[in-house]
Amino acid sequence: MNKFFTTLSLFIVSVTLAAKSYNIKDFGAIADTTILSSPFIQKAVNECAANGGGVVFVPAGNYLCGSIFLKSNVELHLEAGSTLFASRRSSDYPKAKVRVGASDADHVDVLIAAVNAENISITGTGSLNGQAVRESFRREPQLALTDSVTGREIANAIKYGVDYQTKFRKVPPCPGLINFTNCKNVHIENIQVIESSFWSVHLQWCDRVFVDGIYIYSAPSNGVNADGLDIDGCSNVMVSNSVINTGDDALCLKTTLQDQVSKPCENVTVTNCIFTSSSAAIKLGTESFSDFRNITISNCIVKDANRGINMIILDGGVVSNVLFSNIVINTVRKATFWWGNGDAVWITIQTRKKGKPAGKIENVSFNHVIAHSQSGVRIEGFDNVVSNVRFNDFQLFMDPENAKDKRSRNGFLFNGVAKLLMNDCAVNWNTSQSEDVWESAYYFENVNGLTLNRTLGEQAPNKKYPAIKIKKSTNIMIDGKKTEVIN
Amino acid sequence: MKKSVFVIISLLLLGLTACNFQKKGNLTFNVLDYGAKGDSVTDDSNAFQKAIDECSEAGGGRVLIPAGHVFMTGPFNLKSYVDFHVEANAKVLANPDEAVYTKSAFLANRGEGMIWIGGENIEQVSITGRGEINGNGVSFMGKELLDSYELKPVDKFDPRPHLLTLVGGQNIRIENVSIKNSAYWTIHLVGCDDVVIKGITLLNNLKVRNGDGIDIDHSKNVRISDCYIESGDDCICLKNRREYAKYGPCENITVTNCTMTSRSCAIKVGSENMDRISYATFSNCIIRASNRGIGIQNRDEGTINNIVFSNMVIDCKFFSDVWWGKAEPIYVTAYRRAPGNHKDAGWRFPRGKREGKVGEVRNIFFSNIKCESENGIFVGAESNDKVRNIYFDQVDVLIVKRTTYPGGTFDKRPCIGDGFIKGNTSGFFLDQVSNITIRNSSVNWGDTRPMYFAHAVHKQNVTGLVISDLSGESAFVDKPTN
Repeated sequence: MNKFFTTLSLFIVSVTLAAKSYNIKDFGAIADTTILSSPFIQKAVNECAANGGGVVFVPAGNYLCGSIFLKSNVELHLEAGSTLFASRRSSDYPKAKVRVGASDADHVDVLIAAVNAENISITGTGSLNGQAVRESFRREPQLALTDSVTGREIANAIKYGVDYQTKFRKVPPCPGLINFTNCKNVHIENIQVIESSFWSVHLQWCDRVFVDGIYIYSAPSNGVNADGLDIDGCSNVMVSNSVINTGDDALCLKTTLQDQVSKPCENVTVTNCIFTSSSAAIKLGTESFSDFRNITISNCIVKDANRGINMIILDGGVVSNVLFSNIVINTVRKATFWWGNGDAVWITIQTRKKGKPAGKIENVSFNHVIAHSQSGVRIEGFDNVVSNVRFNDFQLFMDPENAKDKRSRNGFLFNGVAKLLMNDCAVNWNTSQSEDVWESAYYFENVNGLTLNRTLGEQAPNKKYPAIKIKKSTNIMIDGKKTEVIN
Repeated sequence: MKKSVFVIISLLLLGLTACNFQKKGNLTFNVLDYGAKGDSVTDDSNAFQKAIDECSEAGGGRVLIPAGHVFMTGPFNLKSYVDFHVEANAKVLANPDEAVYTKSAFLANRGEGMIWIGGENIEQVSITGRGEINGNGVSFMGKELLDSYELKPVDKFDPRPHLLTLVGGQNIRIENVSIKNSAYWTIHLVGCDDVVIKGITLLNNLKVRNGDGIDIDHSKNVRISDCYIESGDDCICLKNRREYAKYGPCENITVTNCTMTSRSCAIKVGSENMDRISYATFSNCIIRASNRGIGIQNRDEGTINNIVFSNMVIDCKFFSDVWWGKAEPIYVTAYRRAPGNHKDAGWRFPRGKREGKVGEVRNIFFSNIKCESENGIFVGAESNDKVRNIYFDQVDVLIVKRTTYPGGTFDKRPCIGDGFIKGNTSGFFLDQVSNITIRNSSVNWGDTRPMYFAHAVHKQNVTGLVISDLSGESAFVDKPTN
């Protein structure tokens, strides 16, 4: 009899618990992609939050959703086999759009949003699917020559007879799948984030963020603006064990400006990830109104990207203490409308508007990198010098371009750099399939304080240019010897 | 009659549901069902212990600490096969009554804190969820000082509770929870094998002395990643305490992708080490606003070797002398302790001895580390043979004045004799050590340069120093350098 009661109480324990989880089906959500479930999911979130928080459980099945706002202490758990599909009806997104302050989209729709929340998480091995729709169009032909980067690329495409007019644009509604603004203690784990219309996961002004084991995908052919993970003005961010394969930038650190407020991106660690992008795999910028500091990225693979590591600082922010280590990079050319040349690394300081103060980039190091690239490594301090840069054991392999309009030139190119150190680096030209446009293995211009140790490279196979070219540079040491300008 | 039929039917239904749960192996034991009040004032430890015991005896499952409650508890113990799950917005709070903490965290040594959440000889145990475990630390403190709390005077024993002490654990997982405000060490793993600590937030009060973050003590096969740690004392510390000698060396430890802040030393190896600490890698971490960044501090006869630190940004500054450390971003030392006359002395030295020796520190690599601090890197030992084979590759030191605390000093504490080396502030200060390699590195100085700012590298009694591709100069180029 006694035993019976123990068993009985056990049953009751189990049952009370079953009732305690916030299963979205209990709130009216239906696994049917023709019926909008987000209002019921919102109800579940609200009730969960009102009771102090807990888990909102999304069981296996496909659900149709507009915006859902997460609240403090709520974990949205997507069970294996569950997908929240973003509705293709604009009216399913509330009128209050989320301000993101992107240079090309000030306000956007969001599928899963949270503002000023604490202790929120999205977990489970289910998916979010943006159902992005994009259409191709033909841009106006370029008649006059312009001096912008794009302008020059187009001129180059015309020269080689390559189509530059085909582009893609997104068809509204264009929700980003996740935007958390001003949140604290955020966990995103194990989920899949598929085909977002805008930035897939946008973390804005958050503190203590953990991203682990997630998968983000947007179409490499046309996923315009469908960035992977955007870390915008956040502090104390840890990213690991994730795969991001997107049309636009895969991992992007930004500091946007909204209503005169911009916050720094600081203390960001990234490890054990694989990035693929038709644009930049790992990027800082372009929005750079505030500083970026203390950033370590290691043990990552960049695969089939247009750009490997990219910093474009346009808005006056200061980048400092950024470490890249133990990284394998493979970059290739993509369709002309994507930014990039198959560059392994491109770092630049420019001003978005003439007359505005330029930003800074200082204390950057690359350590143990192998890069197979269809263009080289460029560091260009156009509007301010990039200072204190170290390359240690950076092996660059120059491969032929899989595009007709050739853009590659040099292996490593530096222009506008102070205190540049290269140890044990090498440029290896592909000799069986070489490009006629290839120039020097190393090109230095306006470099003040250049030290090269055991750094190797030969002339390109076409033998048209010297292996190393140094122009307008000062304080040069090569293998321990003070050296005057070579060319 | 009708009623009882109804009861039986509903029982059957319940039974069916429960069977489903059992089939899925999804047994959950909610502490509320075991009498926990969750009202923040009633001590719920009995209910917690009952739920844990029953869960473990049933073959395992989840002990649920449900949302919306603050459960105040005294000591309780985790058991095998239990997932101790703290839901978001649930809080487990340590009982502020010192009297309830009676079991020492160090066996017969009762002078260094008691156990709050314990667990001995357990396996397959996890602590998960997005809620909070709070050590109620400040309630055990004395007077608040500038950058610390005074410790209350203790006589025969120190009642302050360590937050979590697992002894002899296997397959331990600690994930996602927020752990806050410990009065003493926070996560102390003794003699544990196969441990993962991942994605946790550990926020101690920065003024609490001895408030270590994670102490890995005589443990092996430990992986720590993606953690955010703020602690007054060391954030992550590898050590071998004498009380737990039987568990053998501390080895096979990986730490990656963490961000840390400490008023003592963010990543520490030592000081208690009566065995061996080796095979450890620390990478891709950020250390900010700390006193010391990385410290190897050997003070007992055990050895420390084969450790790699790589890819880090370290940012340090001075704190008051309450805290060990003089803002050395990297610190590698071996000194024996002073002969015993303070409260812990009896437990620091081998049984029956009143003084000890110090073991060797060797084969330590520092690679690709950017340091910014008020002080430089310090490598020192009581004799040349105690610290050797230390490699610095791509280690950049920028020395900048940040506080008004006077500099020009390195901290040797604990040690025999003077605890501080007065001299100068140098990029690398090397004292009585052997086989030091510094390559591809740099030393730079900020604009404010007090007179004690000195050399890129200062060495005294060093054998086998190899410097290659070091860029940098002394703080005052006109002054003669070493």
